[in-house]
Amino acid sequence: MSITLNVNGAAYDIDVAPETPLLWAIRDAIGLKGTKFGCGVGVCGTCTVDLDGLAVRSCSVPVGDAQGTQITTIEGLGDEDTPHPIQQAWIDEQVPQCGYCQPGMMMAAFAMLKTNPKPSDKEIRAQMTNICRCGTYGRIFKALRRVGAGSLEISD
Amino acid sequence: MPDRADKAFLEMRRRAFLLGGSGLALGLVAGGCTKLGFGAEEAGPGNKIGAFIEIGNDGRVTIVTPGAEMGQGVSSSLPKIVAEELGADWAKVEVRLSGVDPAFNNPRGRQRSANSDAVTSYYDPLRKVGASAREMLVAVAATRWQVDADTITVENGVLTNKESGEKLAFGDVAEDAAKLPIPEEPTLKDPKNFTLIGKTSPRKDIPAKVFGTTVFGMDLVLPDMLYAAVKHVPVAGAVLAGFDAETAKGMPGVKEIVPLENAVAVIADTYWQAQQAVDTIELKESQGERVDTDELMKRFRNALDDDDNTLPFPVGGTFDDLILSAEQSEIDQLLARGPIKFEQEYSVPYLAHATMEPMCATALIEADRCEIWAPTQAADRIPPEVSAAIGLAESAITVHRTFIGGGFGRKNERDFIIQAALIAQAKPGRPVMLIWSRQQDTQHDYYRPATVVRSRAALKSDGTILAVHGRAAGQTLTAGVAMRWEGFADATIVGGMLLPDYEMGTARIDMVEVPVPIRTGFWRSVSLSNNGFFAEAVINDIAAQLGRDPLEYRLALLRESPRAEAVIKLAAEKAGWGKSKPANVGRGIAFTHAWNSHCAQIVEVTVTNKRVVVNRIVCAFDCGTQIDPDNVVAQIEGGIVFGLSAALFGEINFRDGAVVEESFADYPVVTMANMPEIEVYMIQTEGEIGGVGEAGVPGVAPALTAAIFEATGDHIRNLPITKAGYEVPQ
Repeated sequence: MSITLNVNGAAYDIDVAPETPLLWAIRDAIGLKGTKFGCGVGVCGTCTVDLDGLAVRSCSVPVGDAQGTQITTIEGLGDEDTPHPIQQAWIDEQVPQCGYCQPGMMMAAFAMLKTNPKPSDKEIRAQMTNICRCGTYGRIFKALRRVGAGSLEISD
Repeated sequence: MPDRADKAFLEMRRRAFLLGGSGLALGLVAGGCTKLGFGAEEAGPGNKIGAFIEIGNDGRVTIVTPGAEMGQGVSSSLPKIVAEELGADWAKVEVRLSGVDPAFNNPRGRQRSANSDAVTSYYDPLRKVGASAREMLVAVAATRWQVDADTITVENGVLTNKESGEKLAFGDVAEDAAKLPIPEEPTLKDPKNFTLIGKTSPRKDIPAKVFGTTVFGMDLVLPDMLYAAVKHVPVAGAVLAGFDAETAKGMPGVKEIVPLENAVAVIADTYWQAQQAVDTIELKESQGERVDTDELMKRFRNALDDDDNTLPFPVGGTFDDLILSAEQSEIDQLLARGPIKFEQEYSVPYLAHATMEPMCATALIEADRCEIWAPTQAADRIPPEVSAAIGLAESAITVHRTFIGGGFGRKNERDFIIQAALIAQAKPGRPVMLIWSRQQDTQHDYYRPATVVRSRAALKSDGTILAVHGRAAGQTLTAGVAMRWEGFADATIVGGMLLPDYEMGTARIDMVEVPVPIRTGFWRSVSLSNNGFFAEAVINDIAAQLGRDPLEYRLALLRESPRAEAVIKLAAEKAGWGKSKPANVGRGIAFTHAWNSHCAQIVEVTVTNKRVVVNRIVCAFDCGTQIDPDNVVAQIEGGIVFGLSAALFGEINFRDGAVVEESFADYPVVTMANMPEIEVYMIQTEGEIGGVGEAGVPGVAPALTAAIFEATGDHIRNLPITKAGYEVPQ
């Protein structure tokens, strides 16, 4: 079935069954590999994307339901030439180790910081529920505080 | 696909390559079993200076890493060693994952990343690689300038004639240098003159990881690729005895149903279609034992009494000069004499690795060749094992290594890779990417084995340990069979049960092996993942029995060991050991000496109504020389979190033969919700170099249980702590 998805500001016409998880539509039908598969059951957050301003776990959203929404993936957050402040903070604090969870982690941070640009540690603990097996949480705290301190506008 | 996606996708792949991807795009492959080094692809014509270095005529330096990058930073640390001796401008050096070739073996003949030995094993050889290349570049400059080699200095990619001030860039001499023979015994730099080693620099793989362009196991795209999903027979040790795939056959995208020895796979156009189809397949398994955790642990505890079936293990010494365990009769006599007797039992459960990237691998089978792409820690084992599985010669098998989304020892195994090859045989000529679901990953791991231990000691009233006996019971390591020493207990289970750092009098370590059909393997810190707990919990418990402060008691027990003493004292000082605190706050201490590194950890908790908050973990760490100090800190931080997850929550349970847990929902790990402050303080003992990747793990559990004891008076001797009715914020 032909579905139109709006990802990172571009429209993609893809041919997938509507119950296909958005994660696999993004990765395979569109070909954006930055969004990762961690558990497929909405628990780990590795697949997090921004959908209409909210952090959603793309493994748990049927692609049919994502039609007509604006989706931002890690590729849309920023790149080498224009890194997003979150990405710059992640580099400055040397956050990633294996790096597999980090796109989802940054997208979760992106959504959180839009509505709460200077979260307290308590708020960070409550809202950042993504899993990292390399244990980079301490550096994630530091990176988030760095972004907050930078008073930079976190805009779409 | 629309133009924009094509362009963005190709751009992403170009960047992935330049930022350290393994050059997999569009079938232009890097690395092969028969080639030494390999082409410089998009970097332009690179002059190969040996297998590790390429220098373009434009001066661009590319250094490959033989290591498997799984987060521990070997894609930067190993090339940095080369760059130091080479005299390259490190800020401009590009790094790549090497291919799989004996040229990249460590001095023990392995190209694999495990055992915290990447830096320690490659340090000297890679210094030689860099130094040799430097001398070749210098030789060319010396000829051009008609001067002796020692008139020339090398720094940041530039060669300078000290006498005349003339300069040549690496790019100016690389082409001629590549024609020269490689010096066998180059002169190495004096470490006092190091400009890179020992200093923090940004890791080369981090930008790609932050922009989402790193190529992990599932991220490659190959022409005509198909996807596979797999369902294993759920009962441990059972094999496939039948299956019903009628529904699966008719589902969208399905191409093939592939039965294997202990699983059935589905090949389809997309992973999602393959997974949907394989979920409908009903499997029949062979009859046999169906393990149950409660029953197993009872069996292990009973085995502790089986004096007639023990295997001893050395209690100290070196490989060439082992100190053997005392005989059972001697130990029993000494223990009976006391005067003070100590006896306790401890246990640890089965643990999963739970890497964020589930198992995945891609295989392409053709009549006379096979290509494998995989996130693998042990690439050198793939050609012989795939060869044996599919019947092609080893030399016909090419392995490409991707970045790894977490290894921890799980991706040292080749089961999922051999599986991909067997599955791809059903579709010759087409690459097949196998992806395991999280459930399959959780339920078909090579688990860290459960073990029970009984420790007994004879003590004097002044705390002197006169005799000690540590006995383990449980199964051995499936993945470690090849490493077994005849006549001794399994080192991967009992190694480190008693720390030779302490004065322990007459000592015995032994194990009763209980055959269990559960597949077990190497889990970050291996035998220290259980013995770090057993050994240090015993010291803490003896101290408690004697009414001694655990810090003071440890220092009293230590044999002459300045490095051990230094880390223990530093951790204590930084943690404020002995400073007053509320009654429900507890501090516990533990010490680790392994991989030629020393590590002391103090865990501080607040316990309120059986709710444990880990406030802070303070660690003092000495691995001697550090290639990159901040990366060492990051690895210790990560190892601590890994050990903490296990101590707080980790347990894999078997019921009716099958694993109960399915995902992070029922196999919880540390998250932001319960992440403590972690402080790492470093000591750099000169002239030593030790391992880092695993060192943070073992001390956490015993320090945690000791901290809870101080806060509550409650001894926890069976992990995880949530088993003892404690809650942790989640």
